[in-house]
Amino acid sequence: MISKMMFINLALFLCAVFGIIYLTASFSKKDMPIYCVSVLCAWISLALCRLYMFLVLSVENADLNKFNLSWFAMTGSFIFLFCANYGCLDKDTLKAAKGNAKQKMISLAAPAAVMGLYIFNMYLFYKYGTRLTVSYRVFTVILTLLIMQNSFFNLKYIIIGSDKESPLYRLRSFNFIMLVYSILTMAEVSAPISRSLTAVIVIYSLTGVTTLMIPVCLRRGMK
Amino acid sequence: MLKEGYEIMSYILYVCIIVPFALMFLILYGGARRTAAFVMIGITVCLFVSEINSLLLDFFNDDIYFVTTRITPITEEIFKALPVIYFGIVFSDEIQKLLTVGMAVGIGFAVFENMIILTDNIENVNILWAFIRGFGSGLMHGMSTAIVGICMSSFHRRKKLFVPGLFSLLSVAIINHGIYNLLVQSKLEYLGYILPIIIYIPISIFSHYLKKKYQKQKALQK
Repeated sequence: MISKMMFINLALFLCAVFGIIYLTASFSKKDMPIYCVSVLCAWISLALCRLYMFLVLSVENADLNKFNLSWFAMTGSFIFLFCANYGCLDKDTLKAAKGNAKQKMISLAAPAAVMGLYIFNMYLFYKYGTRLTVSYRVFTVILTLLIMQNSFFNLKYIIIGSDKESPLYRLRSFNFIMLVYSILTMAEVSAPISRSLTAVIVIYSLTGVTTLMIPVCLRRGMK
Repeated sequence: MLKEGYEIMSYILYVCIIVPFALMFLILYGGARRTAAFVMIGITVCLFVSEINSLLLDFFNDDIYFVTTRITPITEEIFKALPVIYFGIVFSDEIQKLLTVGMAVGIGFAVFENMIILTDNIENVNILWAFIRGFGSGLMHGMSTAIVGICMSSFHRRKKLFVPGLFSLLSVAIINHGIYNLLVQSKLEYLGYILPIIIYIPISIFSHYLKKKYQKQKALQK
């Protein structure tokens, strides 16, 4: 499994590098909006995270459940995405993005689903008798909280963006894929311990596809 | 840097370097003065962090590999970033200034770290070692702090983004340092020496682009 995880992480690193190059090249002739800068930084952090995971597995054959620096990068990546959703929207978009109480209530379904996945992950860990270190528990809790807020914003922007006149209309596909990516990241936490190769391949393949598609959808949305 | 028994030597080295720098600092002005000041700060940070790393090494039962690949990237990057963050908050959030300041702190840190390692391994070093340390560790430290400086200028102007942005910037710098430390202690060490150069190329292109933009703005103002 370790050798497979190694190559999966290498592939995901290359997907993230593609995203970085694509975004940088797309905005080479004009100033990049702060929203895109934030997503670009998230992708740089993600690429470094995947590279570090690949190296830890290839050099040390180490268990990624023990303390390692990829946790910082993964957390950093989601904080950059949080920054994009929370403070990088321009005035008009921000006004439109506020939404009403009903839209906010419906949007809570996404963080609830993420929380459900977290509980399912913990159940899998106990079922397979995996001993979790304290640091890993802390990391998964922080990551879950960050993914929850990210998925909340993504679903909210999808709902608000369903109105054709909304400035968020063009970013619907981006937000949808971002939501899928967030859920896949949650599923990724427990995928290796399930010892099911099919589950691992499906989850990581989808993560790779979403990693490739997010910068493309963002560029299209920004046009 | 992490071994014991040569702390006094590192303080002697520190005085040897910092005194001429301080004298030069007094007669410089403008950007040059700022750069010299932050190189000195980088050197001082290195001295300070070496003490903290020694304590951490004791705490982790002298497991040098674990400490250098998991712990020192965190301590070193946090302390290196502090002067850049302070400059960004108090003095200026201009991208060019923050890039210069970040690079100066990182390079100052790397220079002093190389000197400490040199004095510790004086019998085993050669010119190849010097090139490897110069291009590898020297650039890596400079690039890590420069990244913090570049991105901080974007995030500082938006208050909402400042704290989360800062944490994520630090995480990028930490993982960059961690990858370098992991690679140079593995069979893929040569890849580790190339990595900082790979990061250096886009940053130098970006710096060149900034320079052109700044010159254009100045011409327009005239």
